[in-house]
Amino acid sequence: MHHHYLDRFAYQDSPVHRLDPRAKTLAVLAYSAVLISLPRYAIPSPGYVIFPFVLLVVGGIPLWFVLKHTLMVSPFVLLLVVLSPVFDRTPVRVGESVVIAGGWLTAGTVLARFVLGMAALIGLTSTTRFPELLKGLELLGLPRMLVTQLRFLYRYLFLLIDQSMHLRQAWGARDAGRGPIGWRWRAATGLVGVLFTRSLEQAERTYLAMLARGYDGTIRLLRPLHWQVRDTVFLLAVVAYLVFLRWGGMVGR
Amino acid sequence: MLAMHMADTLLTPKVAWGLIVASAVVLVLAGRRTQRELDPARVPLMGVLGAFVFAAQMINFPLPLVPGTSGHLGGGLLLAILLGPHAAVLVMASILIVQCLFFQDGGLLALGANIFNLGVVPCYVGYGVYRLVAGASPGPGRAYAALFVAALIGVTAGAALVPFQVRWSGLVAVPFSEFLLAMIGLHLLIAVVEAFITFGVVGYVARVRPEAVAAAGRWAQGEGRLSTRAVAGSLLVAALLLAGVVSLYASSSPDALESKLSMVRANTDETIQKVEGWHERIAPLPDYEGIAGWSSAGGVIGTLATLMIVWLAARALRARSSANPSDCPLPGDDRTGQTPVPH
Repeated sequence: MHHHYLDRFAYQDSPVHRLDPRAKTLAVLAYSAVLISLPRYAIPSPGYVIFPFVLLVVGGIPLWFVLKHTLMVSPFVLLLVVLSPVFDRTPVRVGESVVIAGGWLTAGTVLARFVLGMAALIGLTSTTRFPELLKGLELLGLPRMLVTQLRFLYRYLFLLIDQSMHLRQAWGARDAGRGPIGWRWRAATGLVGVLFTRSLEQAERTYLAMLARGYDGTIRLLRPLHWQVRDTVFLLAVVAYLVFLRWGGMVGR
Repeated sequence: MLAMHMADTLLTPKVAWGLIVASAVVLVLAGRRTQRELDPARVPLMGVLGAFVFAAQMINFPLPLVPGTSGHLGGGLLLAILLGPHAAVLVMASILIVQCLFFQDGGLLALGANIFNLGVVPCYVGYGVYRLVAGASPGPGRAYAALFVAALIGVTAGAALVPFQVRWSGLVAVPFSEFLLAMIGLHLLIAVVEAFITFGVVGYVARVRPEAVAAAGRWAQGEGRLSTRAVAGSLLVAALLLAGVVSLYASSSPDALESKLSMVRANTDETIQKVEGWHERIAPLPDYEGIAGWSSAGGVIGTLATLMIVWLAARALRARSSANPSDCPLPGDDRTGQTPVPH
């Protein structure tokens, strides 16, 4: 089954891939924080494109991939963006003599920030292997219990998605989407139940295997992270860039 | 079903960081409780169940009212009942984090809001309501009622927070009461789907692996199948609630519109009036003020919706009984406990 698309590009090699996950996480976090801190009617200046663009292009992430992901935007955001010009009629002066309803600016800025923030986030997750990203998050203070939880979730995600696809295929082959609805509901409920019992069995086997390998409550990882000079340089450069963008007089529309 | 993920661009820093702190506090406390109480064998179980929720969301449940649409399991309530709320909130948080990182659902800074709305509230509120209604050792009927109420309140309460957060942020100007009622109405329907699926899944697991759902109580020993009366009853309750929301929505419209119109009148700016005029030309019912008794229309619509839903439910039930589903037993679906004979 084809579902290895989650962090498909994270196993390439590039200067961005080689950065410490902590540096990348902090940089993307700072970038997102600056984006949402912009004033209400401010549309991000073109300079804001630079960070995600550099991350993606140097990281060798195809832009069609980013575009495809961005096009699958939350319908919820789109709905609010579309409704905004209808309800927000605060007059806002643009340039010398043009006055438009503030809702148009809100729509523009929300959409622009949304796309930029998504591009930066894709730049982080597609250049960082998930286990290393997690290690970074753990060192940055994410609760241990949650990190362990995420590690197991990621490890069994593909296994169970695979099973789910098989179940669905088998169901489709036998039922073909017909029959009374109550009956189809019970069948679907049964499928989820089967998936659940398989998950339970998987968890039991996993736990026995962990015990067999000496599990004592902590999980140890090979490949510890090493913070290097280039990580410091990268982070400082991003901070300087963001300070310049946000407070260097380039807030504008 | 369709999850309403908050996006970070809809939030101002104050609201986003506030919710991140709130969710972080809950997660740290839940983590401590879980670490202290949890049997180590359940550490991998929690992880695998997180993956299970993802995989289970790929199985679609056809929705009867609108052909071509389908719902799926949300999972918060199921996890809360089977694992307890503390472990469940951690599992839900891990799911939302993975959705954020890989599907960019919402964005990094909206994670606080999303964990709060879709994790913390459904797990704790849902679990609390479930325990309250179910009591210590519920039979199947009472357990179903508890699940139904827990889903209605837990799922809807989480979704109802979204308009508040958008309003506190004040970035996107969408009329608050309409937004709130729309979210509540939509999530009432989602909650019904969630209750049906959760009940069915726990019932199924109880039959094949009773020890796994011991936490769910005695009702799991029942057949775990909904009687037609339970289905009809819950659809009716949902329809009545929905009718209430619809009539509230209708009666709230004139107020919001009134304020909007007065705002526009006070505003003499030529361009704004031009835009407003254009809006009034394309609006389907530009002259709301001329319609007398608009709010009573809500009652009529509500009643019609209720009748419609009852009629459709009755038709679906008739279709089901005439098809005689016992001819086609599913694995483990037999009432007698014998292995079904494969056809």
